[in-house]
Amino acid sequence: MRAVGPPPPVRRSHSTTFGPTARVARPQARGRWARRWLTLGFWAGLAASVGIWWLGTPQGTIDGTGPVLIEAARITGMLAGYFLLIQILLMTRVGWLDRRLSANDLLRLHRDLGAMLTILVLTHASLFIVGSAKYDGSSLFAETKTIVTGYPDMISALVATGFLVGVALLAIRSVRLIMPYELWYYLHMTSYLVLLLGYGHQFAAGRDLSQPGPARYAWAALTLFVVVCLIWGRVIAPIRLNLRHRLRVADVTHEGTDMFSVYVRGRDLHGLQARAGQFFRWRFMTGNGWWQAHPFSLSAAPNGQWLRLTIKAVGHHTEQLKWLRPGVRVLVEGPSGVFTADRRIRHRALLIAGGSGIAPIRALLEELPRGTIVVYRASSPEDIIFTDELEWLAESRDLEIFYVVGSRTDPGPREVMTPKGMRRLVPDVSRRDVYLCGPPGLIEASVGILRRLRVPKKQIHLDPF
Amino acid sequence: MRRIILGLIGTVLGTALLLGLKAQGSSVGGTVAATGPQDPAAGPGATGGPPGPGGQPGASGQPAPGAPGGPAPTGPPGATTGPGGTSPSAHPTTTTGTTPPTTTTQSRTITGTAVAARTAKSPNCGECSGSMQVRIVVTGKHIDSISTIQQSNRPLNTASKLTPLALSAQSSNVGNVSGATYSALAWEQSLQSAINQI
Repeated sequence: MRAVGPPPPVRRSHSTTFGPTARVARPQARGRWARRWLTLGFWAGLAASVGIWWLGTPQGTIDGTGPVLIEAARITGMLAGYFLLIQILLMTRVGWLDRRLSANDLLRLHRDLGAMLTILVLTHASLFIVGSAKYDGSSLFAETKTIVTGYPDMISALVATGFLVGVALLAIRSVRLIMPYELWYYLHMTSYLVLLLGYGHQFAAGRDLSQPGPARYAWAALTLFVVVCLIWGRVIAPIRLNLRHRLRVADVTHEGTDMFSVYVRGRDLHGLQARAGQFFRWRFMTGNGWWQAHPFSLSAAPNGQWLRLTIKAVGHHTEQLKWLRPGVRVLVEGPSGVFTADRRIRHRALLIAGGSGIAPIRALLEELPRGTIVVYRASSPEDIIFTDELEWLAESRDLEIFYVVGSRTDPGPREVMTPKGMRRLVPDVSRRDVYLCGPPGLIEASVGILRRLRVPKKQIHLDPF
Repeated sequence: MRRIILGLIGTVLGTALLLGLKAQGSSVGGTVAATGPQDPAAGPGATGGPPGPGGQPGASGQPAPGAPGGPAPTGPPGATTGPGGTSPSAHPTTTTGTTPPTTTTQSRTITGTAVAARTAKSPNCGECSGSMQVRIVVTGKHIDSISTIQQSNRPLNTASKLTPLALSAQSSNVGNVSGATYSALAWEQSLQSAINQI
């Protein structure tokens, strides 16, 4: 363990190669096409939603301020309705989505679409009220009253708007961080009510959707599809998965300061079809923890015998998990994520781990080829875990591992975490796929360095936490 | 954040573009010539304002619904069938206002597009349509009569209230009088789509 600790970085090189080096074909970058199809589908749906308005409005008949605002309200209404369905679809956890988009992509998409959705809904409502008031020649207040009380299902739409705005305000980072996560999570769940309360007025009062015809049926089919995905992804699939595999805690082992691993056994673990780098949402059925599920990556490649997750005790819940007893039933959802070896487009890889971000990196190492380089960033020598396993993997798989230890201002990390320092460690960095897992600060800094080293974006794979 | 801003800009531009494209092709700003045939040289739209893509009722006597980004300066397709265009003899109708012309040889019947108005979900109106559709009889550019051939189930009197107003204004742009935004707007849009075909 000479290598661990300051002054970092320490180079650990294994240049011994035995036997003929297997010639491995360039990897195929799975999922590129799936992403393209999903993107295409998204835009096609968007075009179709606006197309419904287009077909329902006769050419050359929008005349005057009121009608213009009303038609604009109809367009934004269709867009908002579509975004709401997509927003919910993204969160259904159906396998065909979760295995094609990374958790990071889903999260960013969810955040951006959520903001867009809220703004669109408010715009839709305001445009319609102002436009109608203008057209009717009545006051805004009177018009609002007419619309809310006189139009079908408009009261529930108003309530849905209230929920949506509330959820959106709570989702602002500074607001979110002052609440306990669980409370926030359950408040955020009320957004399903937005779909429930909002769909009525679309079909009852929407000009183009209230008429029997292809638009109405297509829209109903899309809504139904999202609801089916939701029920499938959130209810049926998890029940099936857990009935089939019946996971239980096998052991809990100490890994380092505040770090511990949970070993889980179950039936037919091969049938899980999990890959190194993926994560599950774990629900440990203990007396006080059963009601919350948390995502943790596998910290060892699945082997059919057991699964392992490695946890850093940072909060109340994770602190409790340290005391898990063997035999405790575990319910999982997953596997999710695309932080996997088959996503790379280059043959060689560079892995950058920060703190407990080593867990999925450690698992990935088992599936990456020889010559892989690991940069393991930790704030103190005590925080480094898996030293024995990494040593063993380095020996058997010809890896290079750099331990970069110390605070951000220490000379070692300061030297490595620059474009120059990174190029010195990994001269061929731009010809490697880079897998990054760690806290947001490290990810951001590393991506900045990699981009300056001209590593193409599609070669950078993120798994932030 | 950048994506949200880009998305919003895209939405605003896209909506404006769609509205602009949809507003194109309106014959004469929602107003047909109220005084029989015009001087052929003046072309259609000499009296009515062109509808801009933004929908502002222009007032100048520009020759076509050009406006910013307008498609073609040649006017709407229906313009060629107007008096002085293809009609064999300039029909000397000099009637004004709503007085119907005495000759019927030039009268044409035009049906507007059906425009969805309001929910068809009504317990005591299983069959009735939620659409508004009008049919007009024109002589030259003059609207002689307007009949509502399809109307939304409620409120039922929207069409009957709007018809005399539209006839006297010779325009679809009469605003909402019945307090029924949805059906009034749909009725006016159907009428306008018929006027566009004159």
